[in-house]
Amino acid sequence: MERLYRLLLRAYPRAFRERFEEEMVRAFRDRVRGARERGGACGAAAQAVRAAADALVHGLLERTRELRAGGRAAGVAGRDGATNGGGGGMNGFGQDVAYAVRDMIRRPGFAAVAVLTLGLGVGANTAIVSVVNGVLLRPLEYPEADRVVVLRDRDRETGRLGDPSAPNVEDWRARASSFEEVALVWAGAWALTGEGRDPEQVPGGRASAELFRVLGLDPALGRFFRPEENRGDPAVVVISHGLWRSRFGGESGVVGRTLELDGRPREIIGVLPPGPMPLNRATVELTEARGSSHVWVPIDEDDPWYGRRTSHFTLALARLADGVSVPEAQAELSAIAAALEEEYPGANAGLGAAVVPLRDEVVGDIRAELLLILGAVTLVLLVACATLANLLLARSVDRSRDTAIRAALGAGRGRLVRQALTEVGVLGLAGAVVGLGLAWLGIDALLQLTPADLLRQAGVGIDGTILAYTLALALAASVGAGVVPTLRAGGGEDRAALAVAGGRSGRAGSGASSLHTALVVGQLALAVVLLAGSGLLLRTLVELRSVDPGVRTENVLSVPYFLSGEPYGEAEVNLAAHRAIREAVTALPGVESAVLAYDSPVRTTWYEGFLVQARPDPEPGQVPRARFRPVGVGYFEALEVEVVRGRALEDTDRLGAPGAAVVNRALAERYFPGEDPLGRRILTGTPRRNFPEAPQEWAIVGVAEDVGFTGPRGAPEPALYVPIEQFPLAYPRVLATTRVDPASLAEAARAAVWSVDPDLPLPDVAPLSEDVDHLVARERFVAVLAAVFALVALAVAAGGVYGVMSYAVASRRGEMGVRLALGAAPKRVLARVLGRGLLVAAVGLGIGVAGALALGRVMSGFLFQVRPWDPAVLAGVVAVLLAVAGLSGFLPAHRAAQTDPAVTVRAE
Amino acid sequence: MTSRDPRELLPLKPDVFLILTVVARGEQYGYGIMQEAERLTDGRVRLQPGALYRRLRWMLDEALLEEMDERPVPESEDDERRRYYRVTAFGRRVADAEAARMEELLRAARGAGVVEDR
Repeated sequence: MERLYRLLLRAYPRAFRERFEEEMVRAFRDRVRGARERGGACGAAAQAVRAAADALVHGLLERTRELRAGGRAAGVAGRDGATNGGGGGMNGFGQDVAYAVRDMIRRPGFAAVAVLTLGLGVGANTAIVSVVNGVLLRPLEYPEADRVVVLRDRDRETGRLGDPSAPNVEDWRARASSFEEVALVWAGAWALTGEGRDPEQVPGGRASAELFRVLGLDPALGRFFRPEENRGDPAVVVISHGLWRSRFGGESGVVGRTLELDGRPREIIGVLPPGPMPLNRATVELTEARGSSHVWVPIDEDDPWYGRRTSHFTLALARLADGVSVPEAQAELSAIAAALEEEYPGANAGLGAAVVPLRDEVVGDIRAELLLILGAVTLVLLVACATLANLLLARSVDRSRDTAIRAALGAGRGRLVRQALTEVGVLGLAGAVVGLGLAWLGIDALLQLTPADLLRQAGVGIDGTILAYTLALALAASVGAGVVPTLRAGGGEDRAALAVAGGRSGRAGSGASSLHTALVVGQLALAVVLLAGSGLLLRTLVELRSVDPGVRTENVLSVPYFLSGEPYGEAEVNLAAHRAIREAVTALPGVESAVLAYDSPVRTTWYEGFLVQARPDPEPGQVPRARFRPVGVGYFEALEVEVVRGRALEDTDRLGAPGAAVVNRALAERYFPGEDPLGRRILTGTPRRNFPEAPQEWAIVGVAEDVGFTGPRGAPEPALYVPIEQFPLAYPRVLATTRVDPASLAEAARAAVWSVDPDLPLPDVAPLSEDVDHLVARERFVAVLAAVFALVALAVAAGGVYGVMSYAVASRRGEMGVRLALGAAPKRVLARVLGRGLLVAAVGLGIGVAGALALGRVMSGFLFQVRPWDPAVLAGVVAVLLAVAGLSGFLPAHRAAQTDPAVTVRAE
Repeated sequence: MTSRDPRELLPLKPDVFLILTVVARGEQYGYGIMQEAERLTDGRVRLQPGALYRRLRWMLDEALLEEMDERPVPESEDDERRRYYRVTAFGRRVADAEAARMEELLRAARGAGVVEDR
């Protein structure tokens, strides 16, 4: 912001700036800071805009004063000034600026409309470009960040990427020479306990010692892990800069103190540097928020999960060796993956590997959406330019008499053109200031409305590049819009204008009139394209929301929790807590029933590979796998998922009893085509350290309907439901179906869990419908933005059309008066004026509809069960714009038809 | 300069008079003037830097104010780059003259019954 202010201070004469610039910038900074303390970001933005406008106006006033003083001095000095040709030019420029500023002050209405129009167009662009810049263009925060890559599994059959298993990553590391370092990360969360504070859940996880070298981070304090600490789980921890500030007040003596994680004290050995730490998309929210808390503990190579080649949940990050490109690394890794496939056909069949630049992984696939929105704001800017051009054109016609007189008095064509250009330049500057203010507010709103894992927020903001861009855009737009009227100002219409000048009303020349018409046609066409595009996206959103996920999501409260530290860990202890928590939530008034589940029914869980008993070992690449979903008794009934064959899970399916599983329809159809899956046995082989009693073999007791946990667009994936009673994970959730708004029960549900254990952190209690919202977050992001920009364009276009229509009516008032005086019915006169307006509108709408059809085809990838030529959308858009155009023509024409013809005729 | 008639500069712009009043109460720097002016007027007058420094330029040129060489606040608490201003003897005379002009005006208005006597 300060840099823009400094730029605006250039409006002041140089001598003034040399004397006061630093002081003024400091005062500006203090002022904005004061406003932020009182009124938050909005207050600060309002103050910044006010101060900027103030600096522009006073700077120009100061400059005119100096020029006047200079002129007097030159007058005193006699003819010496004549030798100084450059000074004359500067003087003329100052006069032009002063003239432009005075003119804006004299016509505040025109100035306000013009500046606001330009500001809206430029502001929308600046907001989106700053997002595009922050998300797509700016490198990540690490040194040589383009060398940091994520290593992933690639399913050879589907091409889908997935998380690798730790042993595979170790083999990649051992055999590849493309990477300087390879790190393994298990992202998760810790319960921060002890020190007489409320328990708190902090993100983070386990990481191998190489992580910090891969990222190129240096500790702000202390040290990071040593390679030998990757074994045996030593009691050490590295904390984020944010946690150091918030929990330890930024004390330098923090290294050596202890932090209790999951009930185990760990020595703090280091503090991470400040700033975001993007690892992948899933952890963006956790590690990127300003001052966020996260903690890291060494990965444990002795952990049984670490040795499992079939458990895929490791995040592998690597730094490319010097001079190695991504394709080169990809080629090497593919070869290694192919070798591993042969060595471990059971675990690795069909599994390739992918090298993904970290930037792509973090940014995700939001690129297409952002570019679409960028296209939308470009159209908004074009509409704004057309409106501005119309305004300037109307004014230049109004002024043609003035211009003609100046030309007759000897002002050269160049001088007049320069004058007109200076005016649009001043307009452009003012538009840039307004646009920046709007963009600032807009970015803030945008980031608050967008989930962090959809759009990486770190790095989005207004910086020097964006300021320069905004300024250049506003100037280009205003000069572009002003170029036609400007050429007219210097054009050869002087005589005609002078002739008109004799009369009372400046009649629009036919050239101006046809330009007006062309601009209106263009505006309407652009507005149709924008509105139709956003209409299609909104309908897509509605269609997506109406897809039945196959599970009850309304009136369900989700209460995730996390048993950590003492006394948990043993299966029976965990299960006792799970049962007690479920019962406490069930007993709440307003709750119908409560069931346990490992994860949200509308989110994907991890994959487990499995074997079917009494079947030959699968061919390489044919190992069956399914989403592993531990759930509690009553799950299918409570969440209204139909069990189509066999039975649901029951109380008797508990530890000690044979393993029982329900599979979904997709699993039955894919892996038991034409067979009855009931009674068949499958083997998963889960690690035994956590729950030695947990079965490794499951008998299929039922088949349930598919649940759309991959989102409304996703195809059903095989899922394997096993009883939580037989797989007692420490971090499930209670799903409570309610008779009332679930959000209203959140507090009561927390209290119920705390009645069982007051030390459990409960940060994420929320209605299940929020998870459904999350599934369509991307579509909503695009649809809402497109709708907002379409409405902005509609408002700007409506203003522009109204202005032109009023102007057209005003310039035909005389003619209307004569007709009325000669006895024409007011209705007919009105119809004539209106008819012409609607004809123009119809042409614009026609072109717009053609454009919208073309756009629909380009956008078809974004649409869902909506045709690109959706008739309802197109008809609605055309109706809205016809109404706008009709009203814009009707209001002024009606007013004109009502006035006494004698008055208008006399005026002529 | 001392021989100048302060009435040459009258009437003062309201902002200029307010700035004179603020700085006359004690040496001030730019942002301090803005805050103090806001406080004195119960928040009705919020000077922006653009306007303030234009006025200050004029007041310095007309010798109503001068820049200080020494710091009113001990170095340690102060930002050494800040510039402090104080009112000159001529500045005080101008302020007096302006106050007298306004008083006269007010008296006349009261005499005419336009303004109620308080």
